Amino acid sequence: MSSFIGVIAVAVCVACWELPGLIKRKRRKEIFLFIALLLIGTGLYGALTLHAKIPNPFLLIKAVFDPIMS
Amino acid sequence: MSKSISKDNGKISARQFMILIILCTIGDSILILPTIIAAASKQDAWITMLISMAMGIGVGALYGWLAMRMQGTNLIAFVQQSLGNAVGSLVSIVFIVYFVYLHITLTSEMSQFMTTQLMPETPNNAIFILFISVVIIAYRLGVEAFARMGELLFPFFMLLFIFMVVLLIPQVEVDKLQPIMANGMLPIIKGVPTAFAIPFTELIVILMLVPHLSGEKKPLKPFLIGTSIGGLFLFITVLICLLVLGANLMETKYYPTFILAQKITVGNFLERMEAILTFMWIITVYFKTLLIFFALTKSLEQLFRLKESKMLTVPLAMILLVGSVVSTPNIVIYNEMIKHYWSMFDLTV
Repeated sequence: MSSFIGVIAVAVCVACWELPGLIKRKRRKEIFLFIALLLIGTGLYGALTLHAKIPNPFLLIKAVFDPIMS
Repeated sequence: MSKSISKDNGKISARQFMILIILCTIGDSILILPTIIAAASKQDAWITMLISMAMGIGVGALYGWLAMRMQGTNLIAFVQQSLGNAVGSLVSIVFIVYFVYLHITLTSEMSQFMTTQLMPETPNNAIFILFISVVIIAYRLGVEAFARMGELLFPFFMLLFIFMVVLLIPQVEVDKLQPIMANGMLPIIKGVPTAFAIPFTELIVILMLVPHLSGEKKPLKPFLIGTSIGGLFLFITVLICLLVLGANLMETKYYPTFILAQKITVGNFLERMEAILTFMWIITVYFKTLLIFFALTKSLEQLFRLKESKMLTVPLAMILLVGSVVSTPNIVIYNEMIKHYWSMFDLTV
């Protein structure tokens, strides 16, 4: 649980570090993408620290190439 | 229409560009390629590497020609220009996914190597975080800074490589190359896709650096020289592995080059030089990872028409980190993946 809180704390720190400048420069698209990626990253990393089952990205390659290889 | 929007106008010279190509070609291949080629081609692995090197120079020429046609834009902008916005964006997404996979593979390799050979007690996450932090710092400092760093570290890499090869010469046994082509051409050809795909086709990430190339903008020459020198380094590595370890040992060990470095003995005082190999490998894999991270971030910047991309580095690193941890639960699964599927994936993209 402490790792999960650590991940959230890191995400908040990163947001506090990056967002003021972006808001000041009125970078709307940048802010949107930054928040979206940060939420995905925090969600995934948080899930990892909580030992949730995350699918292996290589399984996709395996699924695509297995029929071709065989 | 789709000119690069970013204000990061750092310029690098043709020499720096060439050094980055060399480092990217050698990348992780110096450590993982010998075992994969030996598994397919046995004692003829050197012929496989020679054929792959020739094909790699061909790919270098192709990328160089493409870079000249790109006229100062990056790969994603060029794809969007050539194929139109809709199809171009779809192809760009394919490239972005490919860069994500490349990055995950490299960081996984780094952590697998560190945890199996050097620091078995250290958790994977710690290695990932340290490694990716340095990548993020280099990216945020800009292309000029990391190109200069490459220029600075390349002579050290070359000296250490020569030092290692020279010290291994007393242990060379030419008999280990025989019988040449005992089973015909088939085993040799079986090893070519991997030996060609991992070092050379992955060089596509370099095309994201083209807008930063200064001077007369003739990228063909750096591409040709870079792939030739990089390929030569890999050829020498495979050859010396065969000559010192032999095909059987090379095939069964995960990191034959590392074993090779451990074999160095000069008198009774200069022994276990694997630190040299580790340092060399960290330099090359770091630059390859950095270039992939650069390509990935710049691709997102181009795709979404962003005016800056530095803020994307930490969130992207978090996603990549999770990908790396999840994708390689252990070295056996990882090696299975690399041996059987990776070259196909590389060649397809």
